[in-house]
Amino acid sequence: MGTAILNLPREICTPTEIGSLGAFFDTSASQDKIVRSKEIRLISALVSQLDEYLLAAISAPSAAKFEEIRAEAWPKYARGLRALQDVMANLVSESSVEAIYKGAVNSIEKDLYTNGESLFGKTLTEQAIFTLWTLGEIRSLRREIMAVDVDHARRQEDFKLFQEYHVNSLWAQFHLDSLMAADKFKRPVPEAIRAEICDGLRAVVNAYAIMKSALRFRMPKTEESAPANLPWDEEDDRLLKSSLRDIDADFSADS
Amino acid sequence: MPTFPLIVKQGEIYWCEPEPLDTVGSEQEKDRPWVIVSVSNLHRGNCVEGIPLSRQTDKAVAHLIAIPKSELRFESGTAAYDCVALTDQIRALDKRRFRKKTGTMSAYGLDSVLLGVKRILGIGNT
Repeated sequence: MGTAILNLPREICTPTEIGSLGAFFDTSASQDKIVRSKEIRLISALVSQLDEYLLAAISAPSAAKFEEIRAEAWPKYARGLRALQDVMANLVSESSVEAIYKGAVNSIEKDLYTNGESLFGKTLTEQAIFTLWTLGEIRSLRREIMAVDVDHARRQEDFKLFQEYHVNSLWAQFHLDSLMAADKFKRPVPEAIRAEICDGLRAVVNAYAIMKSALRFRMPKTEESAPANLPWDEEDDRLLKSSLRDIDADFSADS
Repeated sequence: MPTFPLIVKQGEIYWCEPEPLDTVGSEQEKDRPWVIVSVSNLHRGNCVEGIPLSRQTDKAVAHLIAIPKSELRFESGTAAYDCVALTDQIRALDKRRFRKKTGTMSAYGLDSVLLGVKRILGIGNT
């Protein structure tokens, strides 16, 4: 699997939910209606603890220092996030979590478009927006996967995919949350660590591909039918040729 | 007898040759493998949809998907390399231009490329 390229630490990753909220849960007026004030205080305490780890990481002046701080913060972040998700699961109904999630995604996307470029540059902003979008795709896949049960004999393999998904998802989440913390506290991300964060965000693509594998594992594809014998005419031929014209030009230029 | 492959499958990788009259040089010198992304049994005529793979890995950002070499299987002893699927360059290709299959992309890699395609085409949770 392509995860090897990212060399992710796996030790601390206890599986939790699929496509869950990250540390970007923030208290707001609309969320106050869903979660009571005492509960808000507990959640806020957990979120501020996570913010502390994330801010430490994005304060690193160099890539090497970032890796060092991340290695230290990562297990704490993973445990803290797990605690936050467990508290949320205990206090808030699944439908409310979905409402909170949608609200959070909309607000983050808006923030990324508004502040991203000035705080962490164009490339990282684009990668973050793509990461957020991919998390939405993963949530859609989750619904499909959860709708199909897996028989007992295949559960171990199914769980292995889930664990692999979880490592990649959490890794991407850490880096996305780092950017969210940068935005929340208006801290520009040093240029020296942007490439590291961008690489970290890419783990979301692995997470998506693993979820697709999990879906195929639970719902194996039926044999493909015979190729369709659809009509083809001169117009199709002309269009196809024009599609390749610039490739020919490219070859000529290179030769 | 045609020399081009009659059946081209999703996930296979081909070098797309130029028109013989348009150029000189050999395909091996050109860094342009294409991965087929269209669904095999829906191919019409000689048309398939492909995405070029670039060796310039610094191009990887957002929907331009980085593909590690571990997800590529090249034939004829060609060494695999990390690449980027330029999903915004999706194109109709004429399979008569394909002289031989040069490799395949894993299902895992292909799913990653198709994620980028979904993004660029605005399919999914836009």
